[in-house]
Amino acid sequence: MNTRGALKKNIFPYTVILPSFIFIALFLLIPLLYSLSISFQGYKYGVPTGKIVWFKNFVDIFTKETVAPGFYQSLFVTFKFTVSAVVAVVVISLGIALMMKEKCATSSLLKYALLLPYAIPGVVSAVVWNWIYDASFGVLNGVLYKLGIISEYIGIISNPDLALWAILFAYVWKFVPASAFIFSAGLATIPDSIYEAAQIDGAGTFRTFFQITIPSLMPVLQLVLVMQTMFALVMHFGLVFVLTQGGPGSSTRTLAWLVYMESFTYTRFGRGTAMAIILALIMIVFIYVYLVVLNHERRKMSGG
Amino acid sequence: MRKMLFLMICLALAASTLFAGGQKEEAEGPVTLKFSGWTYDLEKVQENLAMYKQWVATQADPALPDTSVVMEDAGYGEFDTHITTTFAAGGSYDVMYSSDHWLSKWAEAGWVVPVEDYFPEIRNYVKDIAPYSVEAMTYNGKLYGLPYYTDVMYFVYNKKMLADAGIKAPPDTWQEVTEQALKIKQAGITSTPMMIGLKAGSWFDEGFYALIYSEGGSLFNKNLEPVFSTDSGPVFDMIEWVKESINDTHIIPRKVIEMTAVDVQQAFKKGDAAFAIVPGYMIREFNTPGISDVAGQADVAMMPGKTHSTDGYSRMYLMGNSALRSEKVKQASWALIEFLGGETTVDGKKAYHIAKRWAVENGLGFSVLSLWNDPEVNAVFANMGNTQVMKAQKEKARSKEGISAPWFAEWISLVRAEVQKAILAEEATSSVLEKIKKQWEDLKSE
Repeated sequence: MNTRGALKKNIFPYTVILPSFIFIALFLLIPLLYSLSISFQGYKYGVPTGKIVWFKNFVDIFTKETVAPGFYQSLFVTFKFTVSAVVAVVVISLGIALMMKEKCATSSLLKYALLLPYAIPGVVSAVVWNWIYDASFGVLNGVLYKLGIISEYIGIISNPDLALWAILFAYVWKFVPASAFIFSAGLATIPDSIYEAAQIDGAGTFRTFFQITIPSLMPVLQLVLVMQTMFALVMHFGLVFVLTQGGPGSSTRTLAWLVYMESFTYTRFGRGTAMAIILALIMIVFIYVYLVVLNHERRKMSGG
Repeated sequence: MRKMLFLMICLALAASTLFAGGQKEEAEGPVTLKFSGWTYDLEKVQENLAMYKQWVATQADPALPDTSVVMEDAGYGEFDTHITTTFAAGGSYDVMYSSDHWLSKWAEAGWVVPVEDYFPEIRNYVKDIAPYSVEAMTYNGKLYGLPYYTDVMYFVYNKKMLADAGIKAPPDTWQEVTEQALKIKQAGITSTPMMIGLKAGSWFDEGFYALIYSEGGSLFNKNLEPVFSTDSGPVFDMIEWVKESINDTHIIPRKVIEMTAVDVQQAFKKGDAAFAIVPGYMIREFNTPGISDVAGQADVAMMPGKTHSTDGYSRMYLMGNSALRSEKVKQASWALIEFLGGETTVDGKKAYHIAKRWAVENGLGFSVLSLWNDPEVNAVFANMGNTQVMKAQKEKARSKEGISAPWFAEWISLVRAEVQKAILAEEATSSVLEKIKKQWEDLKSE
């Protein structure tokens, strides 16, 4: 093969990945670097001051008297929401997936019903939940009143103790279906013969679930956990925007909401972007922990 | 490779020629103005813009034939974000709506320009516009625009409910509001006698200022220094009054935290409340049969309190920085602002045509003083409530103190969350006031 031919052969793989690389560079790498550069800049009333402030925005977030308490508070709310949302979505969606596995009339009905929350756009579902929770004519109040649980209509999203849970409930309703379908697909890959063998060995329902189903689902569980954590950290934003605007007080002021406020209401794009980067770092830490812990569990289970 | 380079240079040259051609063409040929406003009666706005197109072609001096306006709209609640993202991304508008909340921030960012610098004749309008409205449209001593609509927060009451409870006159003080509300509640007329929208949002600000002003309170002086006490005085007292009304006397339902002024309007129309604090333009519907269950029962009283003062708010037309791209665009933009907010001659008649149209057809408030002399306008407002009271209330209205600070929009959004904590008894009022004072000083020092 001459030099030209060798060159052509070497270039070919790069040519194949070039479109993907361009795509990633345009929509991921460049915006990421640009965001990083914004976080190092000073902004005043939406306009860059022209000064590179390096890590001042990050330092302000953690130390400035008028910024840090709000940030830590939103961090706490974010953790509370994320952990609750991930646990709730995983448990409920796995339960639904197990129900769908059973071959009965309700399982196919469940499959169709699950598509409904998934098909409704996020903001539309937020508006619907706003009506459901409404303190004057909301369906939830109506049902609770009819059942005699409450003696008069109550403000659900105007109550600082209930508002976050109200958002969580709406969030879980929206995000359970996707995970349920993923778990369902995972369950379908477990051969029936394993269950049959377990049954012959006299394993009960719980033992079968914890010693066969869960270990077999570990890769799927890992995927769902990673996906749901990413979603829970940011995709509740629409609900907060429509339902509570971060209130009452600061009871639903999550980090995602704070990023929005800093950037688009306070027009402090530098600090807002710095907060977004912190949010992304939190996401990475969560995912890293999942990968390390669950990989370890997988290795342990497979005897590796 | 060389062929590719040649092709790219040719493309770049063609693009730059086209771009330059476009600019030149607009300077000499037809002008297309970019206009942005929030989503409110867009059909009427488009009709007004069509009228402008006809008017500017013949009546305006200089006449500007072939001028057209392209409008983009966004919801009022998201309008500041819409403008911020547009300008921060390098876009712009020639003319746009604004609320008094945002002018100082947009002006400081250079997104809007002082009309006064280019069209000094705008100052001729000052003598015919209510002072609070002029103040709201002024930044750094320069007038930036003309009013779209301006209004005040009114105290409305249900005459029938008061009569049914044996109350002869609407309350004069906040103590009387409590007493009358309790009487109405005890009579079983309504369990939620008093309402004010306190959901975090811009209507919260109007209500908050109205309460403070009604007791003669003040937040800042002319030098933008906080003047409110954190443990006594009108600001403290009014927050405490709302807190007690929600948590102790229960005359205000807790759900007001999730209600905007629009929700309060709906509740009042349904007969859920005997008293409410609402923006002026909402009153029209209260006495309109068919859309209100309490038609004929609503009336306006002076804001209770020591001074009966209230918050006066302004929505206005501003000139965006892109209007300066050519003399012709600048002229057309000013003509649009003047047509929509000023006095123009249409069909041989000189009047505030558009402001009057909004007042007569939609019941929107206005700050043009001479419009009160218009019988048509007076007739419409007489149906809404006691026009004498409305006029007197407008005279007592004050623009929001601190609004001329470019950090106001940031500060007030922090205030909403903090004051909510106080009125829900989550945090002591004095601690909240300390915090919002500190926030102001911190933002000012930056």
